[in-house]
Amino acid sequence: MHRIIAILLFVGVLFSATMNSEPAPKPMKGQVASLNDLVMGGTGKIDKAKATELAEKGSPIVFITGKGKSAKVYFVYNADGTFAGKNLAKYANNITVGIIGKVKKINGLNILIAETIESMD
Amino acid sequence: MKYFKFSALFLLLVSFSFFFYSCEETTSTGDNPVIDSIDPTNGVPGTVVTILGSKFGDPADYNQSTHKVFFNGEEASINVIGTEIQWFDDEIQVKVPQKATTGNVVVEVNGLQSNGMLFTVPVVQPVSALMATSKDDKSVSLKWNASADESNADFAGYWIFVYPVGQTSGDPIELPKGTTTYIATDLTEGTVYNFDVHAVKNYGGNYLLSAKTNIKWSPASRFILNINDDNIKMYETASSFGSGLQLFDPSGGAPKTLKVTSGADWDLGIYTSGSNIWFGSASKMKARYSSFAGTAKVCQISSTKYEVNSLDDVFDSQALDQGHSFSESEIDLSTLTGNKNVVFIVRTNSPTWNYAKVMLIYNGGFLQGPAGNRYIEVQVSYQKTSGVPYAL
Repeated sequence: MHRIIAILLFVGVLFSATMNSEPAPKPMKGQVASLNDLVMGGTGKIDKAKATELAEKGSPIVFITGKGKSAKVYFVYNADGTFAGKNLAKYANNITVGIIGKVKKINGLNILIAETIESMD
Repeated sequence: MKYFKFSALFLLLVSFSFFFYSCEETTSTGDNPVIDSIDPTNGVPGTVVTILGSKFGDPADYNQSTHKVFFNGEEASINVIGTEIQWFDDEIQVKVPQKATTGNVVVEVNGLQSNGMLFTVPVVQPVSALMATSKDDKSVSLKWNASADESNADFAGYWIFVYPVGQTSGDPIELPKGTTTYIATDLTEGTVYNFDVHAVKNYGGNYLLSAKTNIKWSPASRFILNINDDNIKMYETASSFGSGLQLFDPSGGAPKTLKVTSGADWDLGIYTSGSNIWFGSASKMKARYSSFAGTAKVCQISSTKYEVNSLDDVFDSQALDQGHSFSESEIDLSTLTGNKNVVFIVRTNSPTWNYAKVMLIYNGGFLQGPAGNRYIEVQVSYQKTSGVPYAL
């Protein structure tokens, strides 16, 4: 009987340790950018105040990963299906932004359904 | 022998004369005003008191800035009948000042003070256990225990005088009987204010104030959101997100979560391992994170902690630099058994120090969120003006 309890305890501890060491979902790292500025040949770099103003006016705020030829532009959406431009704009001052979520490619567009947006400075 | 006796008697008389002359000198010099009597000898503020004496000065020479009467140090206003100021060379009529307490009445003319004459002001029991907390960057919350006189029929309520340290008080804020809390608004962060609370009785239209109960405090910024307008978080060690916290990022105007690669800007941080959740000063976290970049800032934590429901529940009776023992330290949050939010008093930016209170939110545990990216949510009260030991 004692042996069974000991085994159960061991399994419990092991299970608990496994739970605690569950690998963390890795965020995609990138920067917040103005799509309009990118289209006009700029870097897309924008500060929080301007990004918030543009987002309020409906101008798309996007997420860029990588640099140069490997750079990718993502349209970020919230889990409820709404465009996350206003939320993304709040992170425009951050050097690096991390987004955890699901990536989809729809008609050639890179879509990122964000679960978490967070600073990675 | 007879000559000797006469000489001794003469010397004794001279000594007595000198003694009596000296006694007069201690009460007033030749030019000082002299009070012979006051009537009445007791009363509440507003009572008109007649002072009889001499050398108060010619009425024609009366000047408000040089002719004064004090009740235990509080300047009284001179009574006016019609247009005539009641100040004469041998008589003055004054009103007992609003903040008068029992003590000597003194007349002062051109800097020369009279002898003192005792005047008794009835006593009102003051409030006790006055405490303060910074509600936000423009307001301070106060709370106190009611005056023991509150059950008296003539008890009127409470008067609060709010004024910056070094300045004089203005008009009181009048609060009704039964009040034991007050939020002072329209204040300026970083300015230290006096909050004088008086219990007040009403004697037929004349208000009698208790001795003041005082606390000094300053408003401080309250943050529940970080520079990204999101909840303030410190992520577990396994997460890719930041485990450190800068209490106030000047460029963002709010707290900022930081990764170990920005360790030099950390004030506080967490380190999680198994069931242990270490929360502490940047220097303590640097010792735990091998990839901690830069020199750790000096950030000290008080040994006093509060287990509360809200930041609004944390009041203090004295400045944060009094009665607290600060050191760079860390604590394993998993050892806390209160199952409540916990507030720590913190100071950073040595040697002038910015003071803060940091609340770690307990929501069934300190760590919340999805496995791998669990975090502790934080709220911060931060005094942006260095050297002002008042926050929250």
